[in-house]
Amino acid sequence: MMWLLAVLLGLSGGAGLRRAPAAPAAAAQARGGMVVDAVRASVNRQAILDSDVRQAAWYSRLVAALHRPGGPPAAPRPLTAAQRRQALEHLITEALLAQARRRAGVTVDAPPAAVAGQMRRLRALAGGGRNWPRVARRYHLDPAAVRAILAKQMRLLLFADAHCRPRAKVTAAEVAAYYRRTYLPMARGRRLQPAPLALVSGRIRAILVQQKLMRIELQWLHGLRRRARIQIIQRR
Amino acid sequence: MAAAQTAPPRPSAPVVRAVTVQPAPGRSAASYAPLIEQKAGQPLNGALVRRTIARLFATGEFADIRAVEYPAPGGVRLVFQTQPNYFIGAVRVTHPPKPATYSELVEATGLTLGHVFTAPAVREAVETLANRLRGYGYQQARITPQVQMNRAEAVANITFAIAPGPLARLGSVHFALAVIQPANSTTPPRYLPASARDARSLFQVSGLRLGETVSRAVLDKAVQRIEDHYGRHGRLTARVHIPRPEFDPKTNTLAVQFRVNPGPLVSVQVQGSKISAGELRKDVPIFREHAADAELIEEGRGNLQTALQNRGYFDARVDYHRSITPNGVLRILYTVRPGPQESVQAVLFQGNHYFGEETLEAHVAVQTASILPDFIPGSRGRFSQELAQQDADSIAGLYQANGFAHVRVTPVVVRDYQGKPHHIAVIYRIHEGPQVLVGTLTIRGNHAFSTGIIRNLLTIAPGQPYSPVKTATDRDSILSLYYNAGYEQARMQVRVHPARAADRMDVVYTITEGQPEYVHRVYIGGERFVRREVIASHLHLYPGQPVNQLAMINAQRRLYNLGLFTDVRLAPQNPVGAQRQKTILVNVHEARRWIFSEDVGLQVQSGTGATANEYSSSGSSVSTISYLQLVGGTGVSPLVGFDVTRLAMFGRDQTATFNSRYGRLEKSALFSYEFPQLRGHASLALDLNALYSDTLNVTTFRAIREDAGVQLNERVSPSLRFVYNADYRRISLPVVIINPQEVPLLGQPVQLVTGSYSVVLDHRDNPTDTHGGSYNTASFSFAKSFRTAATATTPSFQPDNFARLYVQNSTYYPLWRHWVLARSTRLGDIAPFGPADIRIVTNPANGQTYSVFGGIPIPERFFAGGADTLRGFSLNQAGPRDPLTGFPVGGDALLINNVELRFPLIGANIGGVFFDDLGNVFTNFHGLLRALTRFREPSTTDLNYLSDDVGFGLRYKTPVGPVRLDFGYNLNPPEYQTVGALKQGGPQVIQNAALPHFNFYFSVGQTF
Repeated sequence: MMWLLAVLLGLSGGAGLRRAPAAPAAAAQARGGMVVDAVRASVNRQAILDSDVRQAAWYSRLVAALHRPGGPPAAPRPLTAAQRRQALEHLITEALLAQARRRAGVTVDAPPAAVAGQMRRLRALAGGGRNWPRVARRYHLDPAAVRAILAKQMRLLLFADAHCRPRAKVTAAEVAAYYRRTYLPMARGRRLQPAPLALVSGRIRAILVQQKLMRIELQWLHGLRRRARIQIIQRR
Repeated sequence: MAAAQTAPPRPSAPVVRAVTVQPAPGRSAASYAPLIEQKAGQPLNGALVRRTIARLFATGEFADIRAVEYPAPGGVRLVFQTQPNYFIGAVRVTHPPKPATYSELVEATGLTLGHVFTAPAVREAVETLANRLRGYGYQQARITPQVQMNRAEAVANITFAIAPGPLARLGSVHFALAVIQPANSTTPPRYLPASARDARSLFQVSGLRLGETVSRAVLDKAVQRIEDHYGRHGRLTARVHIPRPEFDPKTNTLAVQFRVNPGPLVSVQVQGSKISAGELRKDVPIFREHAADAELIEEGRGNLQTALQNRGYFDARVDYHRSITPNGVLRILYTVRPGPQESVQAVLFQGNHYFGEETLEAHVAVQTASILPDFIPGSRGRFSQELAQQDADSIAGLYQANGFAHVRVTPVVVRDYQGKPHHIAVIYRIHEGPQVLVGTLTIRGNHAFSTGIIRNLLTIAPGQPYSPVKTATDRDSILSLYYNAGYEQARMQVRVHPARAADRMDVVYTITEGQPEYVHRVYIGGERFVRREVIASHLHLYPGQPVNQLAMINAQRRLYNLGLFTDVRLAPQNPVGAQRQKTILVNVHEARRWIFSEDVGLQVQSGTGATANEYSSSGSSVSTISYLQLVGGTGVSPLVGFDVTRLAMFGRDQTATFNSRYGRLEKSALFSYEFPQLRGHASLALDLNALYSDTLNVTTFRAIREDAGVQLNERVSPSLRFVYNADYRRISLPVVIINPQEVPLLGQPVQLVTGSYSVVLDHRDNPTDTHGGSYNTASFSFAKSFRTAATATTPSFQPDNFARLYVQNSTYYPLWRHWVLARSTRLGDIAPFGPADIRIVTNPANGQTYSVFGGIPIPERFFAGGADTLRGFSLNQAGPRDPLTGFPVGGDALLINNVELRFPLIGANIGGVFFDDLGNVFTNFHGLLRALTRFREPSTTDLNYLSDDVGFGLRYKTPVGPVRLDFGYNLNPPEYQTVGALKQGGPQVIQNAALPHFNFYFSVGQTF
């Protein structure tokens, strides 16, 4: 399912976003005020706050750092504007999926075992259960928040998969065409003995389903974005 | 001002000492208290602050929210700083160019009253308007949006100023023809420029002209003409399209290219039955759709089959075969197997106990044969196997809706019914099965309304029949109750499960009410001259009231009914926001206050054919003058009219109107002032009016009438109203053609004060073109006459006071297939009373004298005859006549009975009428009673009898009522006495004259 996470992460660039003109900042009545939190964007009137963006950005940094050779650094650098922007795009996509899920009346959650399994992996990458809270705090996150983010993402991914997979049907003719046009030339190009169709059709079918699924999901997500009312608050 | 900085993490959270929210315009800070989760006295908690921001944002009132902390003694002060959303208020368009209309362009902006205002939406609206105007030919239209923000109300009023520019003209036209392909080709066609000859020919067919103004509609028509042209030459699938025309702003011209694909030759044939070419074109949609795809061919098959079934070939089967001939012609052959021609003699039901036959017949489309001749479609009845099965399903649905879940209905066809060949009967065999009843009914989740109130709305109850249709109806009723009480988010779930008892179902209604929405306040915008309080008084929307769609629709209707506005919109501001208190936005667009209209017309009527000497009011004779011949004969008089209306007088819902007419027969000026809702009472309307008229619509006299009056209309219900009237009138007769001895008396100006009371009970389904219902009216009036002034030649004279009663009863009976039987009876009586002068009158012909009481003034008497009363008489020619001049003098009693048979003649707009009009005007009520058994006048001076006329009329339906042409034939026109010289200078002798039998009328509206 990580590839779909990549799809979600990759769906960015602001295509289809309608940006509100730079809204004059909510008046700061006095000097010396410190902003605790603020609205950063809205998706069909659902607010995304600065704190949500920060949390999502740190989460992305944490997951990337855990997969780095050598593990996460001791002192992660501050978030950049690009990272915040990317995190905002992820949150917008998540909000669209969550709203679609609510409209569809889906209430089934991600299996706790799957969430627990993912948490175990992250803990192992962080150097074990003892290290894990310390590493998470370095990225301004607490373990409960990480678990919640993970569960939410799995929930949405399951929903997206369930929505799109029934439409990703592959026919025998398409499998045969792939075998002829792609597999055989590739095998010959590598000077390999091509396996018979019957042997590889299962694998080819899986590949084609994934490709179709990806296309369908991208189209669906683009459609959700196009139909949505998304506003980004620009502050100077 | 230092910019606020983002808070760095702190080891321990400070205590929040105070929490404030910057409210949206029109709201108080306290109204947001329930949404604030971060309370004063608590440590600052990021999660609580986040949730508070989310809840405030969900109200929809804010475009931006920031939570900012400021140092305060002992902790911090938390302020939720906000930027309010603005919502769309008035949307206006200035100078909409024809043919676009104001409402159309406002609608096209897509900006919805009450929704959030955004600049991109305005930009989109500009683009949409520009596209719409380009479609009308305004290629250089400039649209400038002006946004006016009302900060106090958070409303953005947007005006689109349109400078349409000149209409684009057709600069050049090019044609590209597709290379003709085989009919089964799937490759896209290739287009080549048409030859000069082809281009000339197509240009001519298109109907376009270089230099003419061009719009999308003009181009669409040209496309249609070209496609139809090819269709007439057998290329039924010809398609023409126009890629986006090129516009040259320097010359303001469009260069248009037509891409024409003629398509193959198409041949549509029928085998096995005679179908005329006209019927084939009507039934097979290929001819009008310019396409020959499978769906259209199949639709043609179905239509042909239905047409045959309508002619009695109930078992007709039509198949088709599509093929391409060797020379590339697409051939569609419909093969018909008509079967025997039969007629449906009976439709019967067996096994029904719960429903009677009358109820079941209403659910059946199969029909028995009628008495109409065979060539009329449907005369042999309606039947097909599919239709009978549909009827069976419909009957089954009726039973299921009443709890018979296991009903079975089987249609059975009996051929050679009662031993007669080609006669069929259709029998619906019904096996009802057990009826499922409701076991228990439980209602849950209701707090706003008691269970008793909800149960009163329901169609099911324990022990009553159960069906899913009934529960769906109950659901609609319950949700309507909640929506009308402001619970826009109400939902309802229905659960049904079998009860313990057999054939019983337990039903549970679970209601989720949600939060109600209430009116916070009402904001009125868009008015310019009409006073705001006038608008507000018709809204009936008040703070604290539940937001109710029905109430808003009614408010809109009331404002439209004032006639002051061309556009009225109501909507809650921020409809999807979570805020429960809603501001209701009202936006109006006023109609033009000054309305001018002019009209030119003709008055046409058939006349008496008689002429007479005119006598002036002084009594001296004047020679016959030609306009009386004109009036007396079948003639035409031009008529011009000029009307001025001023709406919204003094900013109120009052209207002043001036109507004037000028013609040979009629000169009139009427001024009226209307109060449509007197003192805010919707049921009371007051009219003040003043009239001057000089009419010659009765050949006997020309009357100058000066009238001032007050009329109060009280509408008790939609069908019942009372009318109270008080009038002062002065009527003078400068020309009157009667016994010269009567002239000095009856020709004097008369002054009257009248008071009247009328009741109108109107149950007609459509007043302008009635098909059912009734119309009843009764009017009673009392008139006080004033003594006339003495002149040099005439003494002072006291006319009669009189009471007048008039009643009308009309009923309308729909027959079959839009035939209507309409009848109307009118009865009137004038009873003089009070002191009046007696005068002695001498008949100059024979020297006899007779005494006459003061007399009802002639213009106040009843007259009849004409398009709206007795069509066997010319206008106002019925009733008593002056024994000397022979001209009608009206009467004190009236009886008219009209009967009409109205029917469709050609299509939906042209109808016909057969009519019979019976009645007359009578000297008085005694004369009426004596006349009830008389169909001929007793003598030439006693015309109290019942006249009868018959006739035929044509009707053409228009939006303002039918235009009609009536031809009336009087079966017993009167013969009446006149006195005159047989030749110039000869002695006066008594002569008899007769009215003609035949009359015709041309007018608008039904007779009654």
